Amino acid sequence: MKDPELDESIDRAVRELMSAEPRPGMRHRVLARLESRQVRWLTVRRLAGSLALASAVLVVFVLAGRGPETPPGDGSAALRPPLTRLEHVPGAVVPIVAERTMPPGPARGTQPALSVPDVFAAVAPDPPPAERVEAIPALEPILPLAVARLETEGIAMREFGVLPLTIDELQIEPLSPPR
Amino acid sequence: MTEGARCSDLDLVRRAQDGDTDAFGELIDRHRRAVFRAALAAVRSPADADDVAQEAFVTAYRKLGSFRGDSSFKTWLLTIAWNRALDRRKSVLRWLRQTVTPHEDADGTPRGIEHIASGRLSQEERLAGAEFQQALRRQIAALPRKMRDALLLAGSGEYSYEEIGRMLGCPVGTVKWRVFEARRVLKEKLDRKLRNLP
Repeated sequence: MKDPELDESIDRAVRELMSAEPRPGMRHRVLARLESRQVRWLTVRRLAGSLALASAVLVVFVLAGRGPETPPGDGSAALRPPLTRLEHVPGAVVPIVAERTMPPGPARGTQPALSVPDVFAAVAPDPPPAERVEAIPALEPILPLAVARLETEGIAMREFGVLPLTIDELQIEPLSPPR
Repeated sequence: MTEGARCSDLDLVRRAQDGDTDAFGELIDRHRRAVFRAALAAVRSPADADDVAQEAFVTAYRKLGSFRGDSSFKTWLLTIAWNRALDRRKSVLRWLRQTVTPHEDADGTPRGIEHIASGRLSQEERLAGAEFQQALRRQIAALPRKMRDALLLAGSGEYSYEEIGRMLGCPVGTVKWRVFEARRVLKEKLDRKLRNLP
């Protein structure tokens, strides 16, 4: 079989395989894809931004819902004030603050600025007197554990020693005298 | 590619990097055939090649900022297109392995070539026949992938050996060797079958 003829056949077959043309309108199709991707990307970004904002608001509400911490008193080692649990508000805990020093009043005609704990305390309902639960008593101080001393038995040590080795003199039979 | 055309491609790329979609559209028009045929060599289906070509242009647009001008825009674009085509080929190939019919019969004879074994036609007539060409295309499809890719890309006439080397990620010498080997294997198989005629 002649080589050039086979070469020509191979070239012809490859040209036919690779002779296809792209469909008209490639430019429009690509630009349309780019546009739709851009729109999709903007939508995703907006959605992500909204979710982030919603998460931040939720975190603020959760943290605010824990209530304010009692302010430090006269420097003595005071325990936290007793907490009252409301039966009709599951999980809600309202701190009972014995004393509350009001900040200097605002100037006439202006609204006083409220902090988040003040807002929360303001909207939290007072428990009905008949259903007030007894305050949880403070914990008693923890005494150190008394552990009985462990009695141990003494271990009797026996005296022992190693006797020196005795090696008998080696007896070798003399060789027979040469003839 | 002439120096003037290269500068012109670079100008279009700079404008496209600044957000000029018309400039990018112009680049698409210039290189769509080369990109399409590169994809066709890998996926061997015009519909898939068209899809891959579109994806390649979209990827190139997104990565325009990373084009530094070390190579020509066409070479850079063809490398992207080839990688996208390989991804497509890998994803379809798995499915095809379960469903494709083999190119050869049980005794190793490529399907279709036995029809060429006829004593009524001359060898030249048989070579020119449509059945022979069809059988030859099947033989090309049955080549090892690396040989087939190099043969198809080189045979299309669209690319230089340097461009093919950049696409395939191998030196020019390797590309030439693969093309040579592909032709040698094809000629050997065809010659063996044609000489076995009664």
